[in-house]
Amino acid sequence: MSHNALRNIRMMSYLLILCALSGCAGLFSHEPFTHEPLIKKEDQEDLTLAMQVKAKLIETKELSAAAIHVEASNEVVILSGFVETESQRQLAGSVAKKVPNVKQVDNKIKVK
Amino acid sequence: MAIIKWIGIALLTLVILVVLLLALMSSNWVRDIAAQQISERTGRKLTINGDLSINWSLTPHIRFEQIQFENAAWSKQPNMLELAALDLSIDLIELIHGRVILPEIILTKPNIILEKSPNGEPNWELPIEKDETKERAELPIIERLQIEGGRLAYRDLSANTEINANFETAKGQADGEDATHLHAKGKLKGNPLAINLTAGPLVALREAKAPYPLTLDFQTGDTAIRVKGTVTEPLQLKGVDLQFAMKGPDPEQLSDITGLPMPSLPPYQFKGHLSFHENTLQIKKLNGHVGDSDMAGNVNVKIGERQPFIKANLTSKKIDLNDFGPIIGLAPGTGPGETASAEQKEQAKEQAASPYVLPKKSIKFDDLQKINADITLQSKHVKSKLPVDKLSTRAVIKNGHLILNPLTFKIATGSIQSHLELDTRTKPVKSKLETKIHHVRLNEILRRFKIAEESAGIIGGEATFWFKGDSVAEMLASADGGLLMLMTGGQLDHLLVELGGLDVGEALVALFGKKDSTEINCAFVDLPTTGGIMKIGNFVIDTEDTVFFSKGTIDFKKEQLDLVIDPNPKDLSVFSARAPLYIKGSFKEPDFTPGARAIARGAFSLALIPAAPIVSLYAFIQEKEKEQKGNNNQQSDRCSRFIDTLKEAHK
Repeated sequence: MSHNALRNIRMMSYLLILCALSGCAGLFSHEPFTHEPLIKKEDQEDLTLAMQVKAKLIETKELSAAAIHVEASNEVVILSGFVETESQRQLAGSVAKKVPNVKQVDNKIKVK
Repeated sequence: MAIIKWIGIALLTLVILVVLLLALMSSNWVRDIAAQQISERTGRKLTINGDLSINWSLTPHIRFEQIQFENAAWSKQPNMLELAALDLSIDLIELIHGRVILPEIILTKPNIILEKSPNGEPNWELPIEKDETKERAELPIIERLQIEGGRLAYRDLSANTEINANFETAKGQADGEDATHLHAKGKLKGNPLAINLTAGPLVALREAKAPYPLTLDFQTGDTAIRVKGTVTEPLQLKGVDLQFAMKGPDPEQLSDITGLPMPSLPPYQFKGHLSFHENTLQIKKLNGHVGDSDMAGNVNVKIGERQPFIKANLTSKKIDLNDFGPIIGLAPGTGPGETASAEQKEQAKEQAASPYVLPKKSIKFDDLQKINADITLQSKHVKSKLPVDKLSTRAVIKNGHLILNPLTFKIATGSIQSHLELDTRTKPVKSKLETKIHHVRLNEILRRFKIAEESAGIIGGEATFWFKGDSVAEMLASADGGLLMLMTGGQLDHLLVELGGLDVGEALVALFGKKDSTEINCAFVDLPTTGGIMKIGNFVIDTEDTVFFSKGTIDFKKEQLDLVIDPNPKDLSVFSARAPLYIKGSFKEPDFTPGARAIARGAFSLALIPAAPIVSLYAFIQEKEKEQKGNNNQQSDRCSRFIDTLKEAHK
């Protein structure tokens, strides 16, 4: 009986160590999430680029940046959303193009 | 010209003499001749059934009895005018001088029926050739007009209007002048109506110089209007000098009376001074309130053009924003201390019971096509969820196009500036809203939760939306555009409770842990919107120990939420049983469900958050007036600290 009890305790300790290790592993590797993280690491560069474009649009006084939607994929920036005039549409495109690391701008902005 | 005048007088005298001679022979024959003359000229039969009697003197007194004037053929009533007796006297001496002066006319029991046929044809329009316009100035002068037991009926059944009035003249109290009294009852466009009018003698209506006194009480339903004052040339509406006071449950009900489209608003009470100059109705010293909002100022209404033009300069000490909810289809506040009509209270109950929160009632945009206007409103204080110090707006309506610019709310050191444009000529109505939010503190929202003011949040940002639709629900369901916002300070958990509109206690414990509050260092929200669907583009909230992200959509078409807020601890040492929060369901009753708990999670890397747009928006939460450096800046500093941290992480 005492032998069995000892084995149980040993099993418990293993489990505890495993738990602790997996927990500690997270501290160094950002893993594991038990649910899908909302921002994945691989999307990060695209997201950062899109936000940099958005930032430049916000700083452009002639544009209402809130209505211009920005997405990026492999250094290609996709502009969508809405502006009031054709010249604003073109301005938004050229602002996006000047942002470093932007290879191409796909301007899908609609003129209202 | 003088010759013509004298020939005329000679002829008139001759006629009178012949009439008098004939009258001596058979007065009833004269009566019949007169009746026939009028019948032929008007195409309607005038009968005088009673005897004609004449009392001879220098001012002979003539009495006609039982006069009846035929009604239009389509009417059910045989006579348009009945008169038990007409007494009149003529000044013969004045007649010889070429003036027709009637020292006295007495109308006994005149019974007048004015009505409109179902086709809108009035019975008082007679086929008389209008060649008499030049002679109008030569109308006989009546010195005294006395009316006994008069009755007047007005019927326009196609407009659901039927008014019966009694009128008579009576000796005035002090001056001995005849006063005219009129009491009317009936319905106006289906609404019960009562009118009490006391005015000066009817004959004075023709006197140009003397002000004509007038007191009018007008009541329809719960709407009551009292007008008192004088009119100098009543027929020309010149020299109007009237004080008025009015109250009612909803200004919309005045639309039928004034002929001007009025917005639906809570119960109101106003008084002011009314005058009329060159086609312009002027209301000065307007003073009163609508619901719990007071208003004062001057209003001019220019009539005569195709659309009346309203120019108004209004000021207010306090505006309660929810008083103006009915304009966009929302019931006004009905809680204790709020003013609302019975109908509006009923509407508020219905709205509370409806599964939707956005008002579906069509806004009466067509009304904007009926008027042109230039209205400014300045208010010192605005009661709303935000502690607004000042509202200043100017509304210009021209040819169905409305521009609200500026529409500025000043909030302590911040402001919300908007520009709204509406084109009612398109169906559905197209509109555009641009808003810039600068350094707005959210302390009022937080004060509700008894949180100290120091922890109030500051927001800044901008939004641009285009809409298509006739109601708020339709407009939002078609919204194109987006919203960008930056926030610093404030308690995230309390804010969620406020936005969610209900206490979500346990779900929040899951999201935030058991801490008392979760103060926001910096929050950035980017909500691109297409076709009524608002996407959570970027949503980052930085707190002391956790960075929250959100993804999902807000669907204004279906009024549905589908969001998840995901807590990412910055440091595993604060790891606790935190789990993402799912917000799903209708705007009215969203479900807050904690997601699967993380057994163990990695610390969050700040390098994942792009700092750029936060830096760009940073100006919106900074105080405009740089010299006012108070403790406010401490708060925006927290966003700058966050930015610095992000920049550090990106290196």
